[in-house]
Amino acid sequence: MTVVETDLGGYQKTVVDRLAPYAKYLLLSPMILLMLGFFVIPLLWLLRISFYESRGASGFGIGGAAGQEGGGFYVEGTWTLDNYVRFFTDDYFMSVMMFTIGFALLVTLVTMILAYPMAYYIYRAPPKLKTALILIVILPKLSNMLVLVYGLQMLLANNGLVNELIMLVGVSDEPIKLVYTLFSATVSKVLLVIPYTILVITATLHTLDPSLREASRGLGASPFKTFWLVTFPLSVPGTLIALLITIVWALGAFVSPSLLGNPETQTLRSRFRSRRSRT
Amino acid sequence: MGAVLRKYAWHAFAILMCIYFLAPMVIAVLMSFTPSRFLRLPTDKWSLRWYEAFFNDPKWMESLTNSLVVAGLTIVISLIVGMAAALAFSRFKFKWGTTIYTLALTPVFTPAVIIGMSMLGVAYQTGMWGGHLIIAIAHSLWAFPLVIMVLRVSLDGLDRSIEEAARGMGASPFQVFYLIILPLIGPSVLVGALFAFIISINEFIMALFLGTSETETMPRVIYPTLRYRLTPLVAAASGILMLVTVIGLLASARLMNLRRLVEYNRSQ
Repeated sequence: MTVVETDLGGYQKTVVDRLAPYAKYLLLSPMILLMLGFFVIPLLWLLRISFYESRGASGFGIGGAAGQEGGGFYVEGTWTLDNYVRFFTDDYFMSVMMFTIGFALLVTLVTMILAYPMAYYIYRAPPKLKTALILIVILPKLSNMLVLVYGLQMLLANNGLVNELIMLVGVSDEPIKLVYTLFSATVSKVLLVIPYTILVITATLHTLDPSLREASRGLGASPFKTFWLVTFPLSVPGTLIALLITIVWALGAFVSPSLLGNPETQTLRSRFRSRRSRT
Repeated sequence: MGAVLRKYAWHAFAILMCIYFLAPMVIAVLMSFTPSRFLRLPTDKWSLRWYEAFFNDPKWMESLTNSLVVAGLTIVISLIVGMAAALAFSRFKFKWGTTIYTLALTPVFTPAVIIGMSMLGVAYQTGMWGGHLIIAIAHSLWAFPLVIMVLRVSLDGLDRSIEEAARGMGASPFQVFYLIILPLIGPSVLVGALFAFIISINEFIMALFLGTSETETMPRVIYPTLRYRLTPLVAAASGILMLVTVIGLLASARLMNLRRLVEYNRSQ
């Protein structure tokens, strides 16, 4: 397929030959269509909605989008900053947002502190162990998050394994309340966020030229000095990308449990269903 | 002495991290073997009664069917999109190639709530809302970048001269693809399909936004059961999801050297 430039001489051009110069764009087109239609445009649509005048009702614009008179929660064709003003002046929203941001920063901090050494451990591990570690690290990301959270709940419960261990060791005589605390929230959120962070940092470390490390060691630097003066500075750009991904997940992923937990979502879903049965 | 101690601390850290990664899932699965009516670890007796109950419950079986249909569609969509894009990235030069490649990977790093919520409007306006297809498309946004990553590693590792020889002897680009490239990257295609399957069958939030009661996937049934009626049946459902996930991952590791995914240097 690399020989698209081949001189076709006296041969008659087939459809394939005619399409050949455009092959690379044709090959990318399914992806571009999927990304535009279901990722970029929907995100822009969401942004546009935030500038619509509100109708006062709640709901995901289903009625308005369906073109029903008086339906939905926004007025089409309007531009306003009202929603933002209301968001930033509402005490409830602001307190929720402040907590979300604060919590996301905590999760990001813990994630980065744990992820970097783990990524470095994977980077330096022998081949077989490396494969096993990659599988272990990627498992929480690919598994169902509900299974994960409920497994953690069982572990951290008052009669769970962690508390039994605590009492066995003698740190405390009675179970310590671990579930539904900031601690358990952080533990579960970090677990949901950390796999990509570790893998991105590991991949970054692998792009570094190993001869630089060897040279540093050969010139007499200690392993720690080599890491601190050679490996770490070179890994900073990739680590920053990992940091960005972590922050996005810490912010975005937090919305889900809180969103799923409140009664308004329930009414919203039942509203979807009743509307669907009517149409 | 200090160096030895540091080394032990270093390994201990990695072991603790692995326990942190694995323990929640191991516990969740162990719970499913309890003979008790309540969620607790089986102590003396193990039982499969909750798995039996799972497979005899029409609601759970329906959700399993829905999950499999959505996962099947996700495999088809993400393989078509991912394979074509991987071919483009590995066999052609693009202006801004690295940038396009990085942009192509962004959906996988986008939280599910954002994808689910933003796709809701498009889904409703196109009349696709509530169908299996729209959930599969949403899942494909997470799956196709992984297919690209997996296939690109594999495609870049192929010996280009075989393809050139085939072209030189008169094979059309399609023939080169079907007869040369596809058989050689076959295992990686399977790995891509397995990743797509695993992602789709476990994904919960997009399915919640885009599905209805008629297209409830397994995680969507797990969620309310987990919240309101905590029975070991949920553990059995989780156990089945975990079993599928672990088998899929181990199969992937056998088919392909997963190390290459992180060792692969993009600038090569």
